[in-house]
Amino acid sequence: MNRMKYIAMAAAAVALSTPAFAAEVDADAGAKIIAPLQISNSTALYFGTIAPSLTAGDQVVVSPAGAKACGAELTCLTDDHTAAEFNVSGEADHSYTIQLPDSIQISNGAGGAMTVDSFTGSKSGGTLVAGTDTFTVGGTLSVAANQASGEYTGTFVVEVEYQ
Amino acid sequence: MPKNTLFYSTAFFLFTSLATPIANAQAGGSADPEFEGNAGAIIINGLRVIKRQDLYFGTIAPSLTEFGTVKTNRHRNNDSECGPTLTCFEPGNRARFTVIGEPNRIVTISDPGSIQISDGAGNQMTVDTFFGAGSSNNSTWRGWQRLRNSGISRFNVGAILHVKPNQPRGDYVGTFTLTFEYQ
Repeated sequence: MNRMKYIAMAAAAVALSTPAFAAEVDADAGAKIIAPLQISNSTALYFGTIAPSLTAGDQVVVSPAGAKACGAELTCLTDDHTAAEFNVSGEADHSYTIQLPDSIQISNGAGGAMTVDSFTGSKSGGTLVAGTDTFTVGGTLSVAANQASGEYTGTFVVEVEYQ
Repeated sequence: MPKNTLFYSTAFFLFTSLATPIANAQAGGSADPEFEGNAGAIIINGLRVIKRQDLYFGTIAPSLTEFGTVKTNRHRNNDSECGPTLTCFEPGNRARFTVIGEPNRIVTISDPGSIQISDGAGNQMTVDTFFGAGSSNNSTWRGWQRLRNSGISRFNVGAILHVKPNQPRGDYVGTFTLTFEYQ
């Protein structure tokens, strides 16, 4: 009888201990990806055609709204100036900020250079209503006395970042 | 299931091994040798694991051109390291588990290795470098933990999410499995 009891106990112990050996659990891993922020330039910042003074430098200012102010020492010959325009796209209803450069050089490819600075945006940031937004950027061109003639071009970088 | 089947087979073999000499003794009469053996076992508490929180990497805006990673912090909720090429909004959360078992016993925990999470539209991201499971830092999978005096231990798991350039937007989800065993 005792023997049977021992045997029964052994069998029960094995059976009961089986589920104790291992346990498994599943967990989820997840993330939400939203649309990346993108920016494109649709209009260049352009100061028009300018005749410099022989003796004094001066400035031409194009505002973000596209208005031009021509320095007294200069003669602005054309009215085709433009503020730069940028289109931003991303996740709808998300906000973003705008970073403008401090200063750049534009050159005529023949050694002549002018400075463009005081970049000013139509806003410092925006909201992507329906996933898109637009802003404009103006700046100030400094023209030296007897600035060499030519077509001056340069590039400036505008950064946008989700807020 | 195969593991349980194997174990019961072993138990049956043990049972028959013990039973055979006794049956022989009873059938064979006094001429047969008789012996008495002890059989015993220590029954310990079964292991039980409860998931208290899923692993979540938050809301992420990918780069258009560069890869990026997000790493959850195993020490805190609402905290993740967002790679410099990404923009993270809602912060991520570690996964959290509670293990219940025999006090002071060591439990080993399997490393999930690498898994894919999917948006259900054919796009995937990789989650790997799982860390935690008893480790005190944010980079190592120790893989074992000693249960407390109460028989209850909590532990956290973090991991790294790999985000591809211009990763399609969507809600990505996948499953990882942890196996716990007494050491």
